Amino acid sequence: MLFTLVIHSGPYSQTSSTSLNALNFAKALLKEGHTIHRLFFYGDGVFNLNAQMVTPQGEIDLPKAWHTLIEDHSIDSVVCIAAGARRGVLNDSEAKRHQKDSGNLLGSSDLSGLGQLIEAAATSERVITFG
Amino acid sequence: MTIHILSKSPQHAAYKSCLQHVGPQDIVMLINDGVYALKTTDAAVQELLDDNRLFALQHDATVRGVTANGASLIDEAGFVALTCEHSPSQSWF
Repeated sequence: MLFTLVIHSGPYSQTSSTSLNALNFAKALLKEGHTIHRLFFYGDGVFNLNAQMVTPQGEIDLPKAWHTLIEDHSIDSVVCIAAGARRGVLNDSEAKRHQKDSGNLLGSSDLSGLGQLIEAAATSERVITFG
Repeated sequence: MTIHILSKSPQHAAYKSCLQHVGPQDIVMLINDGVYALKTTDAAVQELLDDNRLFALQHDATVRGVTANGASLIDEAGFVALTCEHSPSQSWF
């Protein structure tokens, strides 16, 4: 089955955030033979692709884990451009456009708009939101 | 048949909203702090338990010291299967 996952939750904590729930769900569905049409990171979820985040020792490095999953399975991963700009998650071209020093978006994901979420919802058989 | 995914504890407004919107054919999947619903004695939760329509993520229940209390504890693969069997999905958070 074709899935899209929408992630609203930041990678701040392994317990109170559902980022880890979404990550484990994504891994499980791939293992079961299903396909991910798109990951859409929205709201505080954009922090999951912040390359500058430093995870405390002994905890799961969620940005790294997302990045690895996306790369390993060549998943289409979109970070909402407006939510990202508001929270300082920018790629190099957006950083330049807004006169910021450098980008910090992990390279496996693209910045794009809500149209990508609408397209994903129209195309996928299942859209699961993690908030 | 909708799958309602609840990730907040009973103290949160999302918990009440979720239970108010569950239809007679719907199921509820508890993840994250949502598993604390298993510690309540709310009638709506009891009704779901009686009909075998309440599920919880085993891992999230275990790390919070919450026992099944009659609900079906499932792993991530089971969660994926439930989302395949039920559509649409509605997340409460």
